[in-house]
Amino acid sequence: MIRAQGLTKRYGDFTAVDSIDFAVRRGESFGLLGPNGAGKSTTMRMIAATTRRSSGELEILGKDPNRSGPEIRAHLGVVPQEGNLDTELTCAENLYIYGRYFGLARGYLKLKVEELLAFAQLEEKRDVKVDELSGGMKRRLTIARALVNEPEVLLLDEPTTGLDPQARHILWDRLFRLREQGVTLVTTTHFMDEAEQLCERLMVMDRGRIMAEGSPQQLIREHSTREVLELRFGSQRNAEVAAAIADVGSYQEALPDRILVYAEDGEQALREILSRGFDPLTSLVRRSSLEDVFLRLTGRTLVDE
Amino acid sequence: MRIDDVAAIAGKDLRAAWTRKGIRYGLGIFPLLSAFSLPFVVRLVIHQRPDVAPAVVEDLLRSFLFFFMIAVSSLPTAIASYALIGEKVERSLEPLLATPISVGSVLLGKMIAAVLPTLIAVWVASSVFMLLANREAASLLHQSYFPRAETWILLLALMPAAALLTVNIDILISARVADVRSAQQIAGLVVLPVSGIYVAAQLGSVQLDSAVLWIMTAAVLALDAITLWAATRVFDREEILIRWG
Repeated sequence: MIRAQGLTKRYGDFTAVDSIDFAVRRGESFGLLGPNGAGKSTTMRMIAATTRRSSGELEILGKDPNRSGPEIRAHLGVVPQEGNLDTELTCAENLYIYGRYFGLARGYLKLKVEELLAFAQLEEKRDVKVDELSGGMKRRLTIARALVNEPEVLLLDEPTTGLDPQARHILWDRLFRLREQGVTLVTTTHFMDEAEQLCERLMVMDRGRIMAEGSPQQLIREHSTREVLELRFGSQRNAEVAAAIADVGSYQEALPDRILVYAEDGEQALREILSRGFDPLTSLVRRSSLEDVFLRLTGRTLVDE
Repeated sequence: MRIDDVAAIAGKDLRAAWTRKGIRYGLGIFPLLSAFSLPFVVRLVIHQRPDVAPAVVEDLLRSFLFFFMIAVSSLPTAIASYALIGEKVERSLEPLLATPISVGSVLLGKMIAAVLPTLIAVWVASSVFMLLANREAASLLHQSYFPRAETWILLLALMPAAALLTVNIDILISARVADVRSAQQIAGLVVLPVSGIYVAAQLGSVQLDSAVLWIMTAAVLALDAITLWAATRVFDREEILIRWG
């Protein structure tokens, strides 16, 4: 469905995407995970056939986007990072007019608009101007708009940024339904829970390069331990204690506010630390997450950019 | 470039523009105020100066009709600035550019949306002006002055060309400016040369006859070609997505 080899994008001296290779299968839910500036959105724009690559190969739906941009775009749905609905228009008008840009017939669109409003749970807001919608409703409408041409691939750039937890879960539910219908999803996110929820396979990016690739479980298994022990000794003592317990667990990360001890058995690691006379202000044993994978691979957290 | 695509974009921009009170009032007030007030000036001149020469009134009528060029050079900016910079600020060009639609269709649709309502408003207003002015001047000229050959040149050649020039300049400005007001202020400078010609006509320095109007039209069309070429360079899909953001 999508195949990239040595894909590179440069802006002058700055390399936004640095010779990356990846492939997405039909019907797969694929995620690009990384902090701001990792090159996710640029990669997404190249897949969306709106930005030309500087070098390398890219094939979308069997076509080269540099040569067949309009044909490729006709089969894609794009949900951009920022809300960019037409605020002067109503929900139904936004969908209808966007459909017209794909050359869809008026009769077909009249039915499709109603179907999409139902999908986005916005039937009651049909004739309400976009300005009057909540953030979650706007996001659902943006996704509905991207589905107007019944795309084979849906590109979602940070789909739930800025949404409250309830709105995020409603949106995830809509995306699950699309997955069930066989739509290929390509999502960029810097939320690890979102990546775990939505993506069967992930590509972790940082500074334009691929750091790791695999399913969320596979990435955690390969790049982290089963459990993580989080300890807080107060910002003054964290560094000192980290040095003293360096041999506990598989490895540690000393962050400004806490120490992370990576171990297969977090409770066992905690007992070992307590037995050495260290008494943390707080301690927490949890399962490893993609955040830990990212920290391990880059030495940075996903949100510290 | 597909006609349907152009129509979809123009239709959407027109619909969006129509929701803005400022644009509705701008399109209505200035042309219609001119349409009713200018014949009143003609009436005052004829009534207060019974000895006024018919040639003086004819010059006045010619230059008054040219006054509508000011509207043609300023009104498209109101719509174009929202359709370009408003969408740039709201980033609503981005989803449009993610569709199969060509950049040429986007550009043409936006041009039509800015030029068409302006021309309709000005054509309606100038028709009203000509009807009323004919009536006011009839006692002195003993015949209807409008329409004349230069009327058609002005309305059907120079005005569309000037409106297009304004929109092209709006597109060029929109690549550099980040808010609608700044764009409108800069684009407002287009009115200056038009106003200069109007004042010169009033002072008798320029005769707005057919030959002069054809020369002006040719000059504006040449500027249209240059600015259109530059506008298509600025209005590039990737440029808009990366640099306009």
